[in-house]
Amino acid sequence: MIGAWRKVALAIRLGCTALGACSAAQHEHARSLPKTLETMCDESTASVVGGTGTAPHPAAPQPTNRLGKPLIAAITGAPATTLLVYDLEAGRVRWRTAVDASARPQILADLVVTTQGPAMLAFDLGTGARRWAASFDRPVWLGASQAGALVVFATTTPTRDPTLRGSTLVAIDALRGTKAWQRTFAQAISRPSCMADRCYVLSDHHDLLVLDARSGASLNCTTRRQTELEWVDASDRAGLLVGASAPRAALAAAPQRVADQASLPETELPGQVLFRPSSYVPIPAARSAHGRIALLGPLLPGPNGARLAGDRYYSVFYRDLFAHAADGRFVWARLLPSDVVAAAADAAGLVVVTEDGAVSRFDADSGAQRQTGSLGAAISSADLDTTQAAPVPSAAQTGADLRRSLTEIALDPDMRTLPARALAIEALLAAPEAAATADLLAIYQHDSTPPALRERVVAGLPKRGVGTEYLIDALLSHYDFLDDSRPPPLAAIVPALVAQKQERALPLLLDCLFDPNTTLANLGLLVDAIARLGGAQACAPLGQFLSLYHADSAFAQDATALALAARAVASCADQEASTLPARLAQRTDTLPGLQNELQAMLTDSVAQSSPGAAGAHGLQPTAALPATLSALAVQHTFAEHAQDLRECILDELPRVPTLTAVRIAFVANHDGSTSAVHITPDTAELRHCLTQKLHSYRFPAFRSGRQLASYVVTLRPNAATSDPTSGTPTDTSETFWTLSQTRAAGRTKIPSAPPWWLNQNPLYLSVDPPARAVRSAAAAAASQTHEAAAAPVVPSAAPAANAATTQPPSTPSDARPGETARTPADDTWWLPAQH
Amino acid sequence: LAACCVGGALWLRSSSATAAEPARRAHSAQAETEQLCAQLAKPDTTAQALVLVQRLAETRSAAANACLVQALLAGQADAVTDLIVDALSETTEPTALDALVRFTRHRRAQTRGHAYAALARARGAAASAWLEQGLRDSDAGVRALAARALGEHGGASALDSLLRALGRGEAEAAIAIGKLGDAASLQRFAAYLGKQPLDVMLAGYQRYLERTDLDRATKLHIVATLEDITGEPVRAFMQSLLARPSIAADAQLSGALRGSLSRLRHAGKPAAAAAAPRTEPSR
Repeated sequence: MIGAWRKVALAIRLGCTALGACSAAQHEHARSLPKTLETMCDESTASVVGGTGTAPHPAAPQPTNRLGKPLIAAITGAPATTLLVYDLEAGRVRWRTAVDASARPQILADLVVTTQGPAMLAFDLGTGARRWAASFDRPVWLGASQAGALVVFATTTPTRDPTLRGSTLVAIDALRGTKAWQRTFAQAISRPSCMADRCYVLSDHHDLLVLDARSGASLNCTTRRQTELEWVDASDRAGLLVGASAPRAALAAAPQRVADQASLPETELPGQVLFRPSSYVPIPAARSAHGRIALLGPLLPGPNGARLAGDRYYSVFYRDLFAHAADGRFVWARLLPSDVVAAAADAAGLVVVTEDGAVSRFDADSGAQRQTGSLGAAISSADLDTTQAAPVPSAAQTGADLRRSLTEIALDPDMRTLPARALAIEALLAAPEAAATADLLAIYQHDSTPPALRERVVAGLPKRGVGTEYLIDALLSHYDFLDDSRPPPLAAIVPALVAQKQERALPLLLDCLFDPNTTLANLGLLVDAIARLGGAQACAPLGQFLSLYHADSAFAQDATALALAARAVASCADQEASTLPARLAQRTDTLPGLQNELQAMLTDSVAQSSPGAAGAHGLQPTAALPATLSALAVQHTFAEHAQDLRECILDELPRVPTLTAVRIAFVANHDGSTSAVHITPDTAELRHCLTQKLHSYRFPAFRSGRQLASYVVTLRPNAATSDPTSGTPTDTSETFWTLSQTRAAGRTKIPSAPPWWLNQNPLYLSVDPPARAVRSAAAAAASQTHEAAAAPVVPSAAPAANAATTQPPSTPSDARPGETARTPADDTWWLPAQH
Repeated sequence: LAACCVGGALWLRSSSATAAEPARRAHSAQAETEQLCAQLAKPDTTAQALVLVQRLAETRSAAANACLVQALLAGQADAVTDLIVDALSETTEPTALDALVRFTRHRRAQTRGHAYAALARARGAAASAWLEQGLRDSDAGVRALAARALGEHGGASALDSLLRALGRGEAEAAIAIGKLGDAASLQRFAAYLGKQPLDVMLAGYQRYLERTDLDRATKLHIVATLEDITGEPVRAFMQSLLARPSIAADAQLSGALRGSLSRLRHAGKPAAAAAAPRTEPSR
């Protein structure tokens, strides 16, 4: 199972970013970077007082609050009206109080804090009595942390206006509510996290500032230009942990520790989740996505640095819970009746609060519910301080239990959880138990399973080395109205049987071939599989099939299966079978579509090759084709014919110097041909030129009958003259789309469309400004030479983040006679989507 | 003598010609069949193929049937296929029956329907097992045809399948059950009251009541059951039954119907829950 998942090092590094120990190399690197952002460290360097103080000694795992009880602070109802604190150990609500809260409550050492309008409210943790309120000026309250007798909180003004932008840190006496100190920053800062007498704050994703909690004075500051810091979590329990913004990457730092590195496997966890919530994002009291998608791993100091407590980490996706071993293996999974509001992991397992107010503690090893409770009301947001020290010994969940849980998650009709359902399917595909194959077939056949998940099953089943018996048994199922049974999921079964060379399945496959409930799309797959698995044995039945239906209207719309059968029998040794296609080609009643295929096949010497190669001769089983023609496939095809389009548009430009774009709309037929071409602008010459060329193109075949498609050729001023950022495509390390692409590398969410950063329009024309173009055209007309083509216009393929989707840029060798050769850099500058 | 000789010769010639005529005709028919068969193997048009099939079917010979089976298995245009299947209903030859059974799994539902109908015509009650298979078909038309054919040709053994088909919403099964079911089947049939549309159930009850092989007590029990259902559709149904000669002739049964009608009119009971909404049978 482990081998199926990519392992990506998620650096949990200790010590490197420690303050006084911050390496010179990092500062060196920071200095070498362009100063696009004003860093906090620049202004605070003078105030660095040096030293890092005493590294906290990690305490025994237990709740951080002074009561030492596992507590949950929650806001109930919508709108949020009640704040309550629940004692998980006692299984009861300690107190509740009415408050029109606007921020998620936070459990501090002595207090529970939240906000109401522009004021932070503090309640006694033990009694719920309101201690004090502290007003703030900035619109966003990020959160608070307690350092000894002081509560430090951050507020910020999130705006691009530099005159308004900024943040404020305020320290309040926890007992009296009086202000101890206040600091203002020009940057966006994170919520503070305090440990002993230190408070840690991130700024603008790159700086880590250390403050003296008592005075607010800066103790140290470090900038990490290459790593976006997204969260900071300092506690006596685990030391200082700082997280990067890359999905699931965690950069942990503990002062004055020797750097160490651990790794967590990336198991295609659903959602782009961080190991801790972003410290920059305010969490509202009302129902929100916060907490519903989370990656949770209890990090504890170990002999060599940080380690996962209990060797478990968890992912939460709305109602789905997954527990993983440190090596990425699935340990258990659960589908909850309600969305998760907040969860906390510790060595003993996972504590989860759900929207319906239920509280559950799941055992780390078995996933069993060790503790349950109810907050007595629907919950909109919550904060947990429930760390439990010792895990309760328990038996690990069995493979059958895990399969059952994963199947339940995969069959959950909640469309929000699609990535989690995909993850469950991947886990089942990797499961060593043979019975998982039956589960996967059931998932494939279930009405609630969307096509994207079915495709995952289809793609994964051939790679499974176990459970073949379940595949063959599934072929015994047939449609039966009285029994309410369905035909077998051939699209999932057949490719797997072929991949595993299961010749014993041949009789059952033949039965399906003559079953009227086998769909046309699956018939193509079946014929191909029978030809591959059956060899000479397949000749007679395929011949019967071909002969029986060669004139039947059942195949009038799609004769692919018959054509595949014809190719298979044509290469049979048996004379009667091998001559059948030729005989059918001569019959007047043979279906026109089949007739064409037969004629083409008879003139094609490839038809003499082995039956097993039936699918390789230009014909594909229909089921193997995509359902529709994708935009990417359209782009690919146009990119292949860039030169053709270039010629037509070059001819049009002298006639229409103001031409900026050409739109080609057409109907793509399922066989890849085109019809009903419409060109905009609709000039006769351009239409004639492009239509002729388009009719000669062949797009990839697809299953659905016909489809509207369009493509826009954009003409842009020459990049070299208009865009200073033009350059080689690789020189985009600082661009926002590259960043998005990098961030998405580990994304597992099934995309519904090509990523936005992929060039949606890989082909464009890079032209000189219109005036130059007109002059050039006039010169061309006057000279009657090829000089007109001396590069007033240079169409080329646009660069794209993904080079595989685009045509390479023009090269000097591509230049037409008389055309000025241009370097790729002349033509390349980024084009966003134009569709 | 000469006259005798001539007369004898003429007699001999005449008698030998009389003896050779059937053989000659048979030979001629065989030759014609072979010719038609050869043409059917490579017809120029579908219309021509249809004419050839028609002519072959009219010969009713074993050779013609064999030729039709061969042509059927070799694959034909839709109309030709269906015509051959119909034509094979006239024979009971095993090869033809095998072909018909095979075509009950044809890809086109229309051809499957033709095959089931042909089997029912060809084999009568012996086709019951195949027709029961027809109740399992994915096409509603084929299922309805199979149910009707079972109603005509099926035996009590088909009741189980018909009742299951009724439970799955196959309306024609109710009529077939009414035609085939015995007194004991009534209780199982009545179990679908309230689950299947009332008009479907009433159609089944009508067939029960029209039967001559069912005893009067059973029919009176049906009338009592209908009275319990109540409602305007039941009153209209009872009224229509009284107009039927087969029922009107039975004084006791018609009397019971009139009595029920009278009570229903005066009671004015609300419509019973038996009227399940009419739904399309699911596939």
